[in-house]
Amino acid sequence: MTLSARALTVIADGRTVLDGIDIDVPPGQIVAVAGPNGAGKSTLLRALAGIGAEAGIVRSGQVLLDGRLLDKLDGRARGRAIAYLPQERTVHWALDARRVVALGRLPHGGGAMTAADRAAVDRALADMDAAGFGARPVSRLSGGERARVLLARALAQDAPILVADEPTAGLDPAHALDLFGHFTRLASAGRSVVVALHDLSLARRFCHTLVLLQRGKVAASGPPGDVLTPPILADVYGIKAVVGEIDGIPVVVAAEPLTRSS
Amino acid sequence: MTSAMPSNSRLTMLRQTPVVWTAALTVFAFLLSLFVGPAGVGWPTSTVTGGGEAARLVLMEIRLPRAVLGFLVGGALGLSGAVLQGYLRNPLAEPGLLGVSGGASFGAVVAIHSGASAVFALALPLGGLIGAVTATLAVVRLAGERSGTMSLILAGVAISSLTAALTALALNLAPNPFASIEILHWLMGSLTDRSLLHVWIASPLIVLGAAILLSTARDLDGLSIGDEAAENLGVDLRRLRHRVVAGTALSVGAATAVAGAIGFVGLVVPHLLRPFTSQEPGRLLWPSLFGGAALVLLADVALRLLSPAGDLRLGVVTAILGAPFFLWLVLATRRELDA
Repeated sequence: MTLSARALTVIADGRTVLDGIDIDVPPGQIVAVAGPNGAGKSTLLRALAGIGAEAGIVRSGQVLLDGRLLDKLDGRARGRAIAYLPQERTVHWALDARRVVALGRLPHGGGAMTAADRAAVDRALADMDAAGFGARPVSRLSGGERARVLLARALAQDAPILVADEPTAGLDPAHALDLFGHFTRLASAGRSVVVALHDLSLARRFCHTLVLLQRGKVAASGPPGDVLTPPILADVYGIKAVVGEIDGIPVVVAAEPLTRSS
Repeated sequence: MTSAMPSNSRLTMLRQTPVVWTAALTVFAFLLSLFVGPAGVGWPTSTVTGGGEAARLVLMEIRLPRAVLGFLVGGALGLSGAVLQGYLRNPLAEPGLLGVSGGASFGAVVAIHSGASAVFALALPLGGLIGAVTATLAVVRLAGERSGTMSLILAGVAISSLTAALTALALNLAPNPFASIEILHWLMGSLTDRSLLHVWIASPLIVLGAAILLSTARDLDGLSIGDEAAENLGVDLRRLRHRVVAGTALSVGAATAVAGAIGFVGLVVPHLLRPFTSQEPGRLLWPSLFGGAALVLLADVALRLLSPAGDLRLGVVTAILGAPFFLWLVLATRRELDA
């Protein structure tokens, strides 16, 4: 399935958060969305996942799933096509981890869990290295463990498209690498992943396309190697960046802030 | 594992079947309510041996409406408490929060104050219903169309304070001491002297409201990981909000209109049962319905035994029973936080 946005503009309480965004997420790709704080990353991801439309927020343009308007899909069908991990990592009540992950099966069916549901939950827990604490209340887990459980919820949804807002937030380096390894496996299986990301080295190394947002507009877009150049990073982030390779692994380091001229 | 998790197998069984045992408890409380009372019409005289016309009258005209109303009112309070706690993701939410019971109370008080209830007995529940509907519309209007829950809580609190102030004003300006005593008694909640007519007025509304509230179970489960994730799971936040408000208004509005304000049931019952439902908000709904019904029926039986003359009020008894539970809960929560 291909997810795309055309001339997407979002105005929240009179402020233009996104301004004429075009983006394509073809099957088999990991697309990273990066940019400074407040550039509109989360807003773009919410719009792509088809959620968060409410009073005070005006959207224009189109979000399309295989060429059809995403808004036309009912909520559960949308949940089967697109799994969305919000930035908010709260779990209310002392639900155990397994039950949280099982919520990902809600779009798939009625009340009782089927064997297929249980298999998807087990797989998602194992993929996120969370099977060991499946029986523990999420309120008793560490922040990173909770983040993995919530990621497992999105994976258990088993949707062809995964939209994840800063999925590595709170994860240790080993689990962050594991996560991108898993995203890569999803992509090679023909699924697609959209991530909002601050870690430009991870974006450079694992993503097929990088969309760099600046004040609600696409400042640059393309293969990460073409986008993550010192001049573009100086313009978008206001930093002097060092872009290079260590032992064959691409790295992007923010060396120092540039004094802002405007 | 939490320290609160019981390890022996009997408690594990209870944990898995809260609907079954709360329903059984409700049946027991219902039968108790039918066969216990000052008139002494026990089980054998009334049903097995016939017992005569007087016994039949006591059973059918006094005890049956009372038991049915106890079931409906308690069920409405327990269920809506569970739904509101799940919807607002706040264990302190209770049916009065949306201003519905305050509105119903004020509506009924106006019926007493104006003398309408003295002329025509049904003016009381009808006044209550009008009050509940008016308060709900005001809360919905005030909260606006945003799907956030904070505006709803604030609007509910604002309307509740307003109705409480107006109720106090009505009490203050009561035309005579008898009216003020009647208002006070009504505010304390009661199932005494209700007829089958009250059952017919309240039951369709309570049943409809309860059906709407019970339909929110899966959505409430989804909400436990936040609004945005819930929306991704297929929860229509705006429709859910309409269903929660409408279901509460119908069930709690009708319950308060016939029985007065009965506190603590909607707050305490979901709390007590939550550990038996793996903390899942959706699984809490049916057990809370039955738990609320059982608590109100048992409290009503208890007050009949404690004060056969009828000077003890139901709302007072549920509050007296509920408050210690709540104190225990505060202490348990504190232990958990300290641990």
